[in-house]
Amino acid sequence: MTDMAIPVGEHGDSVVDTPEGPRSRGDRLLPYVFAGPALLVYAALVMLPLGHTFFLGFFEWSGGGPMDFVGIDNFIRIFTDSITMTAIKNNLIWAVLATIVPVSMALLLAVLLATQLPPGVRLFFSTVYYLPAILALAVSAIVWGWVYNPAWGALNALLDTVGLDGLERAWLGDPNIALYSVFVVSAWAYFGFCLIILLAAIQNVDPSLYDAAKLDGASAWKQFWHVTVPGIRNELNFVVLYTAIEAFRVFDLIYIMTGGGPFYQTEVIATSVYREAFVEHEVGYASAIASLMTIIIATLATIALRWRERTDPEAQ
Amino acid sequence: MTATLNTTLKWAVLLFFGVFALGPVLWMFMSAFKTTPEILTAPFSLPSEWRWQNIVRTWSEGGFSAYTTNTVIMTVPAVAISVALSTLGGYAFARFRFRGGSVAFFVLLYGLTVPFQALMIPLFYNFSRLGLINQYPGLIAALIAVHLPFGIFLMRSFFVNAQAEIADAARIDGCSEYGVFWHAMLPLAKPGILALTTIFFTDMWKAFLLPLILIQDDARRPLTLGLLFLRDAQGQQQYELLAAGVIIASLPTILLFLATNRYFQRGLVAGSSK
Repeated sequence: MTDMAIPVGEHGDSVVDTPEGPRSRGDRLLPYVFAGPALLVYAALVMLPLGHTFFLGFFEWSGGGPMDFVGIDNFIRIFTDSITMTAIKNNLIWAVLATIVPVSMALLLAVLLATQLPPGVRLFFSTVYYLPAILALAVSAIVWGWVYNPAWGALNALLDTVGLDGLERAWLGDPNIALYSVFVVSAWAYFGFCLIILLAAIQNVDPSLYDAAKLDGASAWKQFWHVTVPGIRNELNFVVLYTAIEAFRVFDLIYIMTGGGPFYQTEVIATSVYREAFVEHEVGYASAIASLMTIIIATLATIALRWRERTDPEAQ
Repeated sequence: MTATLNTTLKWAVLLFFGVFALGPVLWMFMSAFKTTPEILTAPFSLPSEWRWQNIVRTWSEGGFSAYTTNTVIMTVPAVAISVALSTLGGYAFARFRFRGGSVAFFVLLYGLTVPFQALMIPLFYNFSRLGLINQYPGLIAALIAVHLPFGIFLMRSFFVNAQAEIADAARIDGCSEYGVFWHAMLPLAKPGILALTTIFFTDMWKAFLLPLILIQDDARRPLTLGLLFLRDAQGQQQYELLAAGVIIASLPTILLFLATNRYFQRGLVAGSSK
């Protein structure tokens, strides 16, 4: 890194030669003029509060009145508090499902859409699949709250119509299945995004690779496994990371559809933070949970980026 | 024979997920035109008559005219400012190497992973102290800040792809660095700016947790909070008003998405895969 503002091109090479020596003071300030406003806003409203949250995690504080320094007590409490541990367990289940279910749905549909189709059909389906993602999760939560309504919801009515009334249940009221019922909404909301990314990636795979595979007599399944999957490795890595990060942030759906209930059985980390901070007024404890959550997500992201660097020949 | 079977299967799968994606939304939209007894007793039948007045009632009596205004007041300035800041920031990271630049870039990269829950506690207490609770400027500033990492990455990727030679040509013609940005780079990045605008608009329109924390006054609730308020307030009657509220809350972004579909999808891909 230098202290001069050197314009760089795509590969980091200097775009502009400056044979006449040091550049003017104005030019050196240039990058800061462009990036400064964004970085200032970001520092004030993201970095600073983030640091503040980590700081608050070491105190007992009700949101008003005195703050008591308690060391790492709040962090220890996380692992002895059965409700928070349920929230963490639920969030891990959610994250595993979220990296598998919507991504698999998207992969299947992207492969089907990448085949020969009449013009316009591909765009039509990708638009339809993306539509749930256009809705606010708050809206989706209310829509699916209706679908799951035990008395007159669409799901029970549908099961009744097709003669499967034995399967009818209180989808959000049964502690054993409520979490999975809400998860279906999450898969519904996210598979379209994954699809758009993966479809674009599949369409960018060099067609001659498929021709070569066909000449070798590779089956469709083998072509998928040995040409498509390696060809879209980076995008797959991205959507898995994206859905995993979103999984650890999940809040709106749970908060609106079940409120963490019944009996805290659908609590996740984010709803715990909200409840502890703004309902129970355990601000220090809530901050400790939020700090842990941040560390988990940053660790995941680091692992994913490292893995990508190691396996991506272009990045080396 | 297998080929026909495969084609049939392919269409069956595509259609099945199409129904899965659209079904719940269309069902709710249809319910908005029914009466509550119809919703409860004949969930799948068409409304006995299309009661457009349900939408009007939600808009006026249900308070959705105010909720919609609030969402617009929140969204429009936040989109405009965050797109501007992202464009400038993305340009800086695409074109210059500068002291502190790689550290800032690294911090922004991790910014993509920071959950809002890790910011909301200090934001709430500091905003309370500053008298910014229930105030749009505070809400808008926070919305902008959390969207900057994605915006800067998207714009950076567009500027990196913009031809460096064009900037050189403009410089030879005697343009200053600012001139290069305005006259050569900005026009090239126009598709990126359009994509980012639509993505930010739909995303900020959907904001829920941020207003949930910062807005407590019913008169200033955006649509997302208004819907929840209506659901919890109405108890057992007038389900059609809630369904009509869902239409009001989601139609603007659906229409924007359909109108800018290609830009939107391209923008998502560009912002995500780099």
